[in-house]
Amino acid sequence: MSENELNHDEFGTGVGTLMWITLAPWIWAFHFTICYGLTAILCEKAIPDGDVGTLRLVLVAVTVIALAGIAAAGLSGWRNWTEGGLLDKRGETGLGDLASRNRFLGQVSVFLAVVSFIGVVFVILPILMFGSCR
Amino acid sequence: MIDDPFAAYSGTNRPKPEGIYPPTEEMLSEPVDPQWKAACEDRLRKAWIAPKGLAYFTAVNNDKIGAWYSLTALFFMLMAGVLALLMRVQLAVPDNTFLDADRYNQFFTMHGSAMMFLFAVPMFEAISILVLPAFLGARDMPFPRLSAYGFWCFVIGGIFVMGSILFDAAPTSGWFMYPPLSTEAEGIGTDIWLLGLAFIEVASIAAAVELIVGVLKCRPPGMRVNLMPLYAWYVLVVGGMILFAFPPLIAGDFLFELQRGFDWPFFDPTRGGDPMLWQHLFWIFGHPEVYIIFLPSIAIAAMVIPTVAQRPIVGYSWIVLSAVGVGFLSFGLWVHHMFTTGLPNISLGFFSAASEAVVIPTGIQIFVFAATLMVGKVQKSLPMLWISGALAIFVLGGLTGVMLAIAPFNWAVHDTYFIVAHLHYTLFGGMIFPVIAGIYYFYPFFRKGKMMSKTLGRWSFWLIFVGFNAAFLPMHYTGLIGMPRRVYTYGENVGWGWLNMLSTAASFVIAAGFLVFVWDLLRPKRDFEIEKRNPWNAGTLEWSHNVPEEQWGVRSIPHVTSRYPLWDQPRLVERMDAGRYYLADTEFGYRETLITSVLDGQPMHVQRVTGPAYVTLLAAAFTGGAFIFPTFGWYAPAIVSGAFAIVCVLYWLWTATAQIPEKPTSDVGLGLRLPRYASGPDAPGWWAVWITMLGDATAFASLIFGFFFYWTANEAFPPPLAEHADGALVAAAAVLVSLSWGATRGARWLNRHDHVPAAQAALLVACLSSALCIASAYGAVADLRPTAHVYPALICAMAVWLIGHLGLGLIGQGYCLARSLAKRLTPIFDADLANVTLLWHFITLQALITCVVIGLLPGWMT
Amino acid sequence: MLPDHATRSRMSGAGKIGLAALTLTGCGGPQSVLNTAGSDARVLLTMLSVMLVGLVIIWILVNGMMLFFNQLQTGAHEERYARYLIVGGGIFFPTLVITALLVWGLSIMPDQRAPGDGLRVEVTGEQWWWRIAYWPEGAETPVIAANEIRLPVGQRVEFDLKSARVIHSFWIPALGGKMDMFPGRDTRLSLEPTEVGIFRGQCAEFCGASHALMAFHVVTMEPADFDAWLAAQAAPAMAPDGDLARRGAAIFAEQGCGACHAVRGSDASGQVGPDLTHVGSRLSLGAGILAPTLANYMAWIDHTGDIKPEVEMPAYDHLGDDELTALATYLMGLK
Repeated sequence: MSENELNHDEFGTGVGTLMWITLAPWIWAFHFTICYGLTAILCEKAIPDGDVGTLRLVLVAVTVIALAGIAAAGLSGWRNWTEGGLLDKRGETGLGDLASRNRFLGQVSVFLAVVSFIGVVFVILPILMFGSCR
Repeated sequence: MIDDPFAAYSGTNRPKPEGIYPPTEEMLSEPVDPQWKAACEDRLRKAWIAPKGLAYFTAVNNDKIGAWYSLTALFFMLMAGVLALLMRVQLAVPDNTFLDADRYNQFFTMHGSAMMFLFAVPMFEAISILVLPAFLGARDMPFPRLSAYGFWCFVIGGIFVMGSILFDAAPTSGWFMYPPLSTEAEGIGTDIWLLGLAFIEVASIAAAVELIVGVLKCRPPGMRVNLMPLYAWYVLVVGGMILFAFPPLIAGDFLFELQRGFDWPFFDPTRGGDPMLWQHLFWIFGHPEVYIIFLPSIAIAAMVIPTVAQRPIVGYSWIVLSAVGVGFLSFGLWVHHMFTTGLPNISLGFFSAASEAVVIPTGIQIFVFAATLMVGKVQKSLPMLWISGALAIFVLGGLTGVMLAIAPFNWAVHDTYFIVAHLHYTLFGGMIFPVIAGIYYFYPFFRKGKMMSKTLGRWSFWLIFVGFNAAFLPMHYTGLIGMPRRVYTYGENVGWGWLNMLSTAASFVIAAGFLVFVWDLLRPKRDFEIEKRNPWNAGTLEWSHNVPEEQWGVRSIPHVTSRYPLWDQPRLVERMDAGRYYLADTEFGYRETLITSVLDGQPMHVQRVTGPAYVTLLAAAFTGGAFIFPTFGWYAPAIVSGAFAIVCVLYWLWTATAQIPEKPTSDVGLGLRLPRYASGPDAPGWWAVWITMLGDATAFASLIFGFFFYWTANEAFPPPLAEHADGALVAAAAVLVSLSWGATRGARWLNRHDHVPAAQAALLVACLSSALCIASAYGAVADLRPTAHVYPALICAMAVWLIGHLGLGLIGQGYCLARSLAKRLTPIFDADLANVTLLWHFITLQALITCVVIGLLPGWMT
Repeated sequence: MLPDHATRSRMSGAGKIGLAALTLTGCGGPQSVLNTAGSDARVLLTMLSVMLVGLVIIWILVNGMMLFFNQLQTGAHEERYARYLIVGGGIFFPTLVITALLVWGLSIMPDQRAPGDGLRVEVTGEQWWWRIAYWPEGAETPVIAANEIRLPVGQRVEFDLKSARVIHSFWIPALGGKMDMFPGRDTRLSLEPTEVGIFRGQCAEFCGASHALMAFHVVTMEPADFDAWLAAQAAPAMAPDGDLARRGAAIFAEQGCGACHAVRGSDASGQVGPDLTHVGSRLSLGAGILAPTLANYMAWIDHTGDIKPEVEMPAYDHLGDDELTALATYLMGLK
C-alpha cells in the first residue's frame, strides 16, 4: 500500500468522520426535541392555561447554546473547507485526493450549519410570540 | 495439517492488504494477455450464471431481483390506480350509487395503502437494487440473498393485502388507520392491514440495511465520499431515514395488534389508553415517508440532469446538503398532519416552523438543477421532458405545502380535497414523473442497449401531464368550497358536481397515458436494434456495463478518480472490458465483490457474495406464515411457521455466510493482494447488524415514548392502586442480562486470543444467563392483567419486546457456540461472534432501560 | 337529497326560516372557505389570497426559469452566475419569504383561539350525527338540541368538543377552522360569527361508513333573535296538533321510539339518538342530509339504513304508509 494508507478504523475514523458533518443538524434535532418535549410536558402537566414565562426563559437559553454549537460546527467546517489553500481552491471539492475530500466534508458542514441555524431560529419563534399554552 | 495456509496468522494477527495502491498510469496501460482474459471471462460467466428452469426463481442477482421487484411494484400501482378510477366514477355525479359506502371505503383505504406501502417505497428499493451496484462499479449488492428474501416477503405480503379486496374483506379505516375507528372495526380488514404491512415494513428495513451497506462498503477503489454519484448520497440518506421512520410504525403496529388480538387497551380511552399515541407514531413514520419517496426520485433527476447538460453537476455539495438537511428536518414535521387535534399553540408553532424550514433544503435542489442547465449545453431528450413536467407539478405541490404548513390556514383546509390535490401534486411531481423519467433514461441500461419509443413517450407524457392537471388542479377549489376528503358521496346542492365530473373525466386521460407508457415498457422488443452502450453519453459507471448483457455486472472493478469517470478518465471502459482493473478473475469460481473503506474507498478485502438458493424462498414463505396466520387468530400455526422461518435463516447463515476461505489473501490485480475474510467493523455483515439494531432501537425508543406519552396524557400514570412488575425479578433480569452480555464479550476476547475452550465455556454461561433472564422477565409481569388498564398493558408489551430480543440474542449465542464446536468459528474467523457481541450491546442497553422503566420509574412517578 | 341552502339573507325572526326564500349566493356555496361570515374565516381568507398570489408568482418564475434554460438559452452561461442562482434562489429568497410568512401565520394563532364571550356550545360527535348542548353564560342546565347549530352574531362562542366512540372533526367553513373531536379527550374551538345567514358544516375526519352523511346547518342570528330562539328551544315540545299528529304521537310511543329519542314534555326520554323535542323546527333531517319534507321524513323512518349506511336506527319498514304519514306529521309538528 502506498503513501495515503490510512488507519482502517472503519467505525471510528470512517463513519465517525462522515457523521461529523451532521453535527449541526443533530444539534437542531436535539434543540427541537427539547422544545417540543418540555412544552408538551409543561402544557399538559403544569400550566395548561397559565403563563409560559419560565418555559420561554429556559428555551431561549437552550436556543442560545444550540446556536453557539451550530456556529462552532460551521466554523470547524469552514476551516476544513479552506484548509491548505486560499479561498480560490473552494470549488475543487471533486478531485480524487485526500485534501479535496476534506474540503468537501468541510463545505457540506458549513452548508448544513447554515440550514440548521435557520431551522433553530424558526423553531424558537413560537415560544417568543405566544404567551400561553392555549 | 502440513500446509495450513493460515499457520502464520492468529486471532490478533490477521491477513492484511498488501501490495501497490493506488495503481499508476503505467500499470494501467500494460496490455492484458488475451488467453488469460478469455479464461477469466469463462470463469466469471460460470460463477454468475442465472439458474434455469423452475430454479430460475431462486436467482438472487441484483438485476433479476431488481427487475422483478420493480415490475411487482408497478403491478400493485396499476391495481391501486384502477381503484382510484372506480372511486372517481362514484364521485362523478352527486348522490351516485355506483359503489356503496363500504366498498368505497375499502377502495380508498387500499388505494392509499397500496400506493404508499406496495408501490412508492418498494419502488425506491427496487430501482436502487437494480441500479446501485452499477453506479458503484460493484458486481452485486453485498447481501444478494437478503434482497431476494425482502422481495419474496414483499410479494407474499403484497398479494395478501391487495387480495383482500377481492374477498370484500379489505380494511376500511383509511391508510392511516386511526383508532378507535380501526380498533373497533369489525372483520379482519384491519388485521390484514396491520400484519400484512408490518411484514412489508420488515422487508423495507432489510432493503434499507442492504442499500446503506452497499453505499458505504461496496464502492470501487478510489471513489471517496466526495466522488460518489449523487444517487448514492440520496440512497444513504433515505436508507438512514427508513431506519428511523419505519420502526415507530412497527412499534405502533405491535401495540395496535396487541389491542386487536388480545384487548390490551393502548388506544382505548376508557381504560387509560389514548388514540393520539397512534397518530404520533403513525406520522413520525408518515411524514419522513413522504421524503423517503421523494428524495430517491429527485436523485434520479440528479443523475439525468448532468447528462442532459453534458457537464458535471454545479453544486454537488449543495445537493448533499439538501439531501442530508431534508433527511433531518423531515423528522420535525409530523405534527403538521395533526394541526387540528387541539395540541397547544406553541407545540403547533414548533412544527409549523420546522415544516417551513424544510422548504429551504428542498428548494436548493431545484436551483442546483436550474444552475446546472444554465451553465451546460442542454440536449433535449425524453427523460428531460418528464423531469421538466415533474418540476412544474412538484413546485406547485411544494408551494401549497408552504401554505399548509401555516397552522391557521391548515385549520381551514385540513382533511379537504385541497389536501388531496396537494398530496397528489407532491407525489406525482415528486415521485411518478421522476421515476418515469428514470425508466426512459435507464431503459437502455436495463435492457442493455434497447430504447423505448420516443413517440409513445411523448404521447404518454402529454396525456398524463394534461390529465393530471385537469383532474387535480380543480380539486384545490373543490376543497376550498368545502368538500371533505374520504366522502363516498355528496349532495347536489353543495355545488361540487361539475368539479368532480371534470376530475373524473381527466382521471381517465391519466389512465390512458399510463396505458401507453406500460405498453411501451412491456411490449416485446426482441427485434429492436441494439443501440450504443452509452446512448445518452453519460458520465457515470452504470453505462460501462457490457452490451449485450453479461451476468457479471462489471467485467473488472475500476479505480475511480472522478465524479464522472466515463467523461474524465480516458480509456476507462476499454480497460474495464480488458480486465485490466481489479477482480478481473474469480480464483475459486465464487461470486465475489470488492469491499472498500467508508471514507476513501480504499480496497480492504474480497467479499464472497451468496448465490441462488431455495432457502431464501422458504424463509420468506415461513415468515409470511408467521405474519399472516395471526390475522385469522391462528396463533399456534403462526408460531410454528415463525420457528421454521428461524430454522431456514439459520441454515442459510450456517451454509453461506462467514465461510472460512481457502487461503488468506488473493491477488486482485494491479499488484494488490487482499484478505478473503473480515470480521468486526471491517466486515459488511457487522455493519448490517449495527444498522438493523439502530432501527430496532428506534422502535424500542417509540415504546419508551409511549410510556411518557401516557404519563402526560393521563391524570395519573401509573393509576392509583395499579399492580406493578415484580421488583425483585426485574432486578434479577437486569443482573442476568449484564452477565450474559459480559460472558459474550468475554467469549469474543478469549476466542480471539486463542483460548477456544474457555470461550466456549463463556458462551455456555451466556446462553444459560439469557435463558434465566427470559424466565425472570416473564415472571416479573406474569401476574399483571394487561387488559385492565394501559399501564399494565404497556409494562407487559415492553416485557414481550424484551423477551423476544433476549430470545434472538440467545439464538445468536447458541449459534456461535455451535459454530465454534463445529470449528467453523476460530480465533481468526470470528465474524459471527463479533456480530453477536454487537447485537448484545444493543439488547443489553434495551434490557437495562426496560428494567429501569418498568421497575424504577413507576415508583418515582407516584 | 339535500335541502336548498343558502346564505346571507336577512331573516325576519326566529324560527321562521322559509327554505324556499333562501337563495344560493356568495362564492362557492354554503360550505365554502371563500364565503366567509366570521372574523376567523375572514383572516384565513385574507391569508389565502395573499399566499395564492405569491404562489402563482413564484410558480411562474421557477418554471419560467426552467423553461428558459431548457429550451430557449442559446449557449452556456458562466459558472459564477450558477453560484449566484443557487445561493440567491435556494437560500436568500426562500428564507426571507418564509420568515415573513411564518411570523404572520404564527401571529394570528392566539386570536383564533381566543376565549369566548359567554355562550358555550357543547358538541358531541356521534356516528353519524351531532349532539348539541347550549350553555348560555351562567346557565345551570343546558338547552339540548341536535344536528343544527344556531349562533348569535357579534360575539365569540366557545365550543367544547367531545366524541362518543370514534374521532370526528367539527368544521364550519364559513366561520373558521376545524377541530377534531376525540373520545376521552376534550378539545375546544372558538368562533365569532359576524354575519347573519345559513351555512353548512360537515364532519371532516373520516369516521366510518356514513362519514359522508354527517353534516349540519348553522344559522347565525341577531342576538335578540337568538335569545328568543333559545328560549323556545328550552321549552318542552308542543302538544300534537290535529288527529293525524295525535295518531303519530301514539305510534311514536307504541313503537318504542322514546327508548332512544327524547321528546321533552312527553314520556320519551331516550338519550341514544338525537333529541327530537323541536325536530320540526330544524332545517334538515338525518344530520344535514335530507330536506325536512313529509316524504323525506317517511322515507327516513321507513328505510334508514338505505339512506345512511350502517346507521344505528333500525328501519321501521313494517309500518304502513298511513302510519308513516302520521308519524311524520307528528314529528314535523314538533316546532
